[in-house]
Amino acid sequence: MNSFPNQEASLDTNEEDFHKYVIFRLAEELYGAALLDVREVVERLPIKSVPNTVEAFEGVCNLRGQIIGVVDLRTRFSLQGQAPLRPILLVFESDSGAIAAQVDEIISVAIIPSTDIEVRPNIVSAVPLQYIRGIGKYQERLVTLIDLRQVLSSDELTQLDQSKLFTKPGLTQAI
Amino acid sequence: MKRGTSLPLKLIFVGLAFTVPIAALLSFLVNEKTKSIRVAQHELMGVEIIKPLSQLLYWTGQHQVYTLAKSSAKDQDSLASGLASATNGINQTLRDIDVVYQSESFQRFLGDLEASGTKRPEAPASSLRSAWEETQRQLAGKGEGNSSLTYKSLIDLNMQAIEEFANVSELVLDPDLDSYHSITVMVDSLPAGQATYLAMLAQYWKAKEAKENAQDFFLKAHTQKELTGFHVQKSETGLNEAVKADLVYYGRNESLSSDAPDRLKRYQESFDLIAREIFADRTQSPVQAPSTATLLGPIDKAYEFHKTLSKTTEQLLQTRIQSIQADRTQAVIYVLACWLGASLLGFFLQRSVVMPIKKILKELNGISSDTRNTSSKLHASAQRSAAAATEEATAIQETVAAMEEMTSMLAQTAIHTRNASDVAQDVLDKTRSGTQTMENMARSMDTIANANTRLNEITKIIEDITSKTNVINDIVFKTQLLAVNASIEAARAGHHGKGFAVVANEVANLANMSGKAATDIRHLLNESRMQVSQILDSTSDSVRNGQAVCNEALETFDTISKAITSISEKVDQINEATREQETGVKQTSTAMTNINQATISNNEASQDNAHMAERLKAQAGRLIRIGRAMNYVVLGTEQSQHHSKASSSSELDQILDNSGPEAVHEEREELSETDEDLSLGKGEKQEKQELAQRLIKKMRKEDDDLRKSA
Repeated sequence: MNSFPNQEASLDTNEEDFHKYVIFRLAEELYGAALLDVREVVERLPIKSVPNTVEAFEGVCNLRGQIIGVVDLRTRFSLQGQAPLRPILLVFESDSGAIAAQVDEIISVAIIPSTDIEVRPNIVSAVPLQYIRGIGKYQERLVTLIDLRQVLSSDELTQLDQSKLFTKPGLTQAI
Repeated sequence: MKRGTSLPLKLIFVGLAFTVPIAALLSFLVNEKTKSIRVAQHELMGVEIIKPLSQLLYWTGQHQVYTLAKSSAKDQDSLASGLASATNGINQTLRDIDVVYQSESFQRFLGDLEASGTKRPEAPASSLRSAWEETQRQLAGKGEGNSSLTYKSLIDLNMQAIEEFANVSELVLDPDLDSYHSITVMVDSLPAGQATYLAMLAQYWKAKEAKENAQDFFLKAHTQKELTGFHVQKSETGLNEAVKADLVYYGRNESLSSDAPDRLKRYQESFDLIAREIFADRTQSPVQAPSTATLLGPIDKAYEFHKTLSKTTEQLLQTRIQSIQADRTQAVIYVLACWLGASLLGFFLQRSVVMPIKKILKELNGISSDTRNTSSKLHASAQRSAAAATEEATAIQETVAAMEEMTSMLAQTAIHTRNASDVAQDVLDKTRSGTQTMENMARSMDTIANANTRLNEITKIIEDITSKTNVINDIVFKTQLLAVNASIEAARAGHHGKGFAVVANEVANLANMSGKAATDIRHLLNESRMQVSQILDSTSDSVRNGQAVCNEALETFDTISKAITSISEKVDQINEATREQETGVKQTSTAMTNINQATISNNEASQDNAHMAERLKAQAGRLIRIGRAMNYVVLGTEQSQHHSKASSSSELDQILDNSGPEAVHEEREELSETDEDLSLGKGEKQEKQELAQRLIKKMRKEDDDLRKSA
């Protein structure tokens, strides 16, 4: 299932590439995810919703024959505002297979050096602190750098599942 | 204006001549009746005072009887009480006499008597009272005895008073009066009876004292009785007369006709009773005294009789007074009614005679003054018309001159009219060119409207472009995604992918740039679309307005050209009219010349008219004088300033011949001067008629002349 292993790429990777981030927008704020974590970005595909799953779990879609689960980050981080006209899916590889995060817009791919990153900011954010890698700067704007792999990890999802199991049985089976 | 005596006033004088004797008769009648009433009232007052006097006689009689009876009668108690009541009665009666005498009405009656020259009778009460006191004193001194003498003075006084009052109230003296008889009876009978009775008593007492003289006593008593009978008879005759008179004149006093004779009879019978009593015991000796009741009988009867009589007399008198009063009122009413009727009749008679005459006079006066006014006006107007004719002639000449001026003016008018026609033509041409310009403008407006439709199409094109821009956007979006993916792949490729990463970056930049450009294009397109639509809105409104204005202007120009066409027509008509006027004025000028000739002949006629009017005036004056004379006869007024001396029938002639024969002659002369054809011997009416006919003929002739000349 894992056609693009991360480990292989990292061996032969330039120093520079570690500081590359995919910068995307959620509601009004900019967020960044490590470029090497992302497998690809695609336009949102038709999604089939799956019953008895957590609220942030949009459903599944067919990407070139591969079934991918889609998590809506807006819902996941409980963000307000209007849904975007053309949402983007960031596709990641995880232990339980590929999973996609739905964001509002891709801004660009940018290099943010470590000096421009505040690792432990003393902030209160919609994103739980455990997922935040730091706050970086991009073109005079602050970008919240988050570990999307962790956010989309199956453990997290399982945790969520378990919290919902009592009320919604059969969730685990469906996933 | 002098005033004579009008006919109505004269008639009123005649009426007064009848009224004065009627008023005299009326006052005479009223006076007579009033006198009668006064006499009757006097009689009434006499009866009033005689009534208590007779009552005094009655009481005196009773007193005497009781006094006499006291010596012989056994029943002394009843005698004493009778005596006391008689004394009381006398005192009371004396007071009554005083009261009556001093009463207001009686004093007025006495005043009347004094005024008419009769001596005022003295108050009877004082002398009677002193006589009564004297009698009482004598009685007290003498005791019983010849008491008949004791009362003599009292009775004499009383009788005297009765007679005196009867005299002053003209009762006894005037036997024509109805009450005469009844009063006579009273005055005669009462004292006579009393005297008889007293005489009898005296004889009785004498007989009682000297029994041997009884024969003598009887003789004397008999004589006395006969005497009394005579008096009673006399009274009866008087009474019968009174009853008869009462029946004849009034016929309603029942007590007098039925009651009085009866009472008189009883009165006489009471004497018979005394006589019987005395003569019944003739054989006895000594002679018995008659009982008190018998003695009182005649007195009572006499008093009753008198009372009846006096009462009846009073009634009689009152009835008479009322009757006379009624007569008086009736007489006054009759006389007044007759007078009023006669006056009304006279008034209406004079109205019926005078009113029509007045009306005729008024009309006559009106007509004659009218005639005078008319004739003077006629004269004035004739003179005026002569003057006017002269003026007319000059006026006509002026008119002819004015006509010529008018002709030249007309020619000028024709020139002006032609000018006006040219101007109108000019305006018409200009209006036509204006109409063409307006039509061109309307066409341009239509072109603009078409352009607008094309602009609309441009809007559609812009929309198409917008949709195409979306495609570009889509491409940009996908390119961006590709660039990101390329970056990812380049990063994965490590060193090998380094160059590729640069390319990917460039691609991303390009994508961003084209994205920005696409957004700009979209904004521009939006703006241009909005501007186009704004332009469309504004131009379509103005185009619509412009078209409406154009249409209006076209219509206005049309109206103007029509109006000018009609003006041109009118000007042509004026031209035609002016030409006709020229010929008309020429004709009028010829007519005026003819009129001038006619006016000259008219002038002559007017002068003739003035002469005629003069004559008519003189005749009207004579008519007025006749009216004035009539006025004087009927209304007594002469309405003119001259002849102020007129006051009798001879002045009437003066009024009639006011102007005298000379004036008439003058009038005639005037006539002969003015109109020789009229004969002087004919009557005035004929003259007038002929004059009028002549005038009419002349006027007709003039009319014909005028017509011919025209």
